[in-house]
Amino acid sequence: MNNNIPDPLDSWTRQTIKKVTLEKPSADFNQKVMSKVLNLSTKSNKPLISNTLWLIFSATLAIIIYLGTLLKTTDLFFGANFTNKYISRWALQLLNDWNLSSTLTSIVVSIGIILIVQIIYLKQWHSKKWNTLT
Amino acid sequence: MEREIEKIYIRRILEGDIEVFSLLVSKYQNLVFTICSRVFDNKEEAEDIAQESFIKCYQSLKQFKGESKFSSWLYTITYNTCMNHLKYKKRQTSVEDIANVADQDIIEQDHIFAKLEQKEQTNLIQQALSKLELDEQMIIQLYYYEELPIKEISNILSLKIENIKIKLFRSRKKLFNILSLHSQCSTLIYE
Repeated sequence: MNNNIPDPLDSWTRQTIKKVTLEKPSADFNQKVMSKVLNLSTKSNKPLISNTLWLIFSATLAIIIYLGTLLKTTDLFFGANFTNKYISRWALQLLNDWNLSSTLTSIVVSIGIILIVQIIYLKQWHSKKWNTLT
Repeated sequence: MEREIEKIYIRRILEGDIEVFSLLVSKYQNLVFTICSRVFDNKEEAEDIAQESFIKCYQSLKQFKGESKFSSWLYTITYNTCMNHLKYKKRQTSVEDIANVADQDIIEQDHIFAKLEQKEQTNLIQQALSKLELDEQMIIQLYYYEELPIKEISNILSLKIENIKIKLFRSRKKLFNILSLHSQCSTLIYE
C-alpha cells in the first residue's frame, strides 16, 4: 500500500457509507438500560455498618470491658486515685492470674476458629446467592 | 464544548445522580446498536449486547479519565463486548480477498447502484458491511461515518496506526467487491 497515491475507493467508500443511516434500537431501549443500571446501583449499595465502623465499635467495646473489669475491682472499693496509680499493676496481675487448663484453652480456640471460618464461608455463600437472585 | 458537557454529565453520575446516564444512553444508543447489529444478525441479540455495552460503560465510569473522547471510550467498550460474544460465534465470510479495483469498475458499480432504489441501496450497504470482519467494520464506521482520525481509531482498537491504514485499505476493497456482487444480483432480480 502506497500512502502517497490516493486510493480511488476512498471517496467512493465515503459517499457509500454516508448513504447508510444509523439503525435504531427498540423504543424502550433507554428504559431497559436504565432499569438495569438502577438495579446495579441498589445492589452495590454500601453495607449499613462499614468495616471502619465495626473496627471502632470493637475497639470501644474492648476498652469498655477492660476498664469495666478494672473499675469493678478497684474503683468501687478504693476510688479513682487508686485506679490511676495501680492500673498497670492490676492489669499485669490479671494476666498472671489467668490460669486455664490446656484442654479448655484448646476447645475455646478450636470453637473460635470454626466460628470464624463458618462466618466467612456463610457470608460468601449468601452474597453469591443474593447476586444470582437479583 | 460537547466534551465539557459530557464531563459534567459523568461527574454528576459519579456523584450519584444516576438518571443523568440516560442522557448519554439516548445520545449514543443508535451508534452502539448499529455497531452491534452489524455484527449480530439477530436484532434482539444485537440489542442485548448493546445494553451490555452500556452497563459495562456505567460500571467502569470511574475509570474514565477524560483523556480521550467519551464516544471513543464507549466504542472501545462496545468493540470489546462484541469481540467477547464473537468468540463463541465464529463468523465466516464467503467473499475472498481482494481483487484490484480499477476506476472503470467504480464507474460501472455506481451505474449499477444508481438503478436501485434508495432503500434498497441502504439495505445492500448494510448487508455488505455486515459481511466484513468486526475490526474492519469498526474502522470503516469510525473513519468514514464518525470521521475520527486514524490515531484515535488505533487507540480504540488497540492496533498500530500502520495496521489501521492497511486494514482500511483492504476493507474498502473488500466492501467494494461484496457490494458489486450484491448489487449485480439485485439489479438482475429487478430487471
